[in-house]
Amino acid sequence: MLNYIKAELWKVFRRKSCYVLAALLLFCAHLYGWLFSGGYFADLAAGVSLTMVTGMPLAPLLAHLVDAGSRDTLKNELSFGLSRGRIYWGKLAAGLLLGLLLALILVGGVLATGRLLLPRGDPDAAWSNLYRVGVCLLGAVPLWCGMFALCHTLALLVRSTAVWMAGYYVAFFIGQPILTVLAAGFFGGNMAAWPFRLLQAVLIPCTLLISGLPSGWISGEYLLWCWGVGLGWLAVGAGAGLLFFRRMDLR
Amino acid sequence: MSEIVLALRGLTKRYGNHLAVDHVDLSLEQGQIYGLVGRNGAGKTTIIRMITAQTIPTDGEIELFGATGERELGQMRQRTGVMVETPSFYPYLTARENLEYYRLQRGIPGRHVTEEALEDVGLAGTGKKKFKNFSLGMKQRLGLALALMNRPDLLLLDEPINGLDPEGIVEFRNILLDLCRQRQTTILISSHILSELSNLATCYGFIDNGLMLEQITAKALETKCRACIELHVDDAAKASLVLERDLEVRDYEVLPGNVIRLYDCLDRPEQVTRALVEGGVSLGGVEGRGANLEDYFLSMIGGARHG
Repeated sequence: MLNYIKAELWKVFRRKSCYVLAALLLFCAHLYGWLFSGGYFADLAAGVSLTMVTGMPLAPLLAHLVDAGSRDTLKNELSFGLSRGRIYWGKLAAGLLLGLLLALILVGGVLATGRLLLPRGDPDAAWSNLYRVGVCLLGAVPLWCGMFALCHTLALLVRSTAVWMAGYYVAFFIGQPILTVLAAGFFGGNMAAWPFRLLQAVLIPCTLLISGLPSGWISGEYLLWCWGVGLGWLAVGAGAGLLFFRRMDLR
Repeated sequence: MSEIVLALRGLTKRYGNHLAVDHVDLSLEQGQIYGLVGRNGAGKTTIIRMITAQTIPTDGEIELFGATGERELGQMRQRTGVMVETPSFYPYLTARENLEYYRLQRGIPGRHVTEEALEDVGLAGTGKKKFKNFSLGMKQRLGLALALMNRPDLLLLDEPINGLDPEGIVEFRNILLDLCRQRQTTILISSHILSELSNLATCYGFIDNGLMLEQITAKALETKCRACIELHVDDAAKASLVLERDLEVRDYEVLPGNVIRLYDCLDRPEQVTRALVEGGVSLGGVEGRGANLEDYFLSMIGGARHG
């Protein structure tokens, strides 16, 4: 399995688009940080904690980096006796590692640049906001993993990249909000009811990364929601992926 | 007795209502070059895909180097080299990078393995050219390089010479023959180019509509296809006596139904018929016969269907 993950990462790091994507994101992150900072590092750190939600729309791009072309080359791997489980998990693990590395570079890069170039501002606020960044990251990671598992499954099972990517964006950013509004109607508009909150968190997981502004983030309950929903999507995505991938005929 | 490298027993694949492969039995001994012959859609590629785990059989059993269980088959597949249809690689990587990726993935030690594989197929000089810019022939060569990279004991090749230029075909043939002679590599090869297949194969399997019609050794096929004069006589024993006594013929065979196949005197059939008639043998018919692999295959599946 280690050989497989190593080879996947080796392959991705030979793609120019990998570096182009990282550079573009780093530029956008710095631009956002600069605009949001108000000239102080403490405010920049507060702003960074709001950017975690961008990981959700980035998941398909990351899956594309790892999985592009894989459907065609699967025959080389299967015919060498690699099991379908190893192929699925190996690519998933490589993608998750790559995503975490990218997140660390983006978050770390913006914070490091801000710390070097900006005045610190209120020291207590700076530490408190950095802590918040840490908690937000801790909550965001399982949600990113869940979404990545779903994208990875779609990339392996659906031949057309355009189709599965469009499907992901439409489902999560148009279809599911509509479902949630319908669900709200079902619960008589009581958006505080726990079944509605659960439905909303599961169907639109990105709301977990923007809903509790700002105090709700620093709580054990928040992390529990994030890990529950994130691991749930990871289990569903990987389970469905493995189920279909094991039965898939390459033609 | 040679080791059985690959055995298929009742291998079947059904896609919905379409039976792509119908209870195929096949057996390959070590060192054999097995030519799988069939029309487009006959089931050749599906058979190779099932052996290589790309397609899941509906029924039947695959035995590879004596192993039959799923996990054991997976291990034994590491002793095979495979090339199915047009080779697929990552388009944004070069030939060297693509092979290096698979070397890392398969845990094959030593970078020299990649270089050797590229040299073996004549792709060492492709430099930074990406796979997406390769010609079909270069893609085929890279596919062969990957198939040979792990020094396989069994090679499974599906239409491997498609897109190769004449020089490439000769090189390819020599590589396969060398592998077979020097390393006793067993080869299963499907090809439409029957003339090329006849230069390589030591036995053949003829498949049509998913059914294995016949399996025959190259030697037996040669005998069947050998040029001869077929004589239909009233008394085969008497005719044999005349042939041996008057014409000193030794190379002939007697078939059931008073049919004699004569492999001598092909250039003087009149002399043969005269001698038989003078010896008191009644001739029901005289026919010149002989075929190549292509004729044999077409006659087997019904040449009329092919116009």
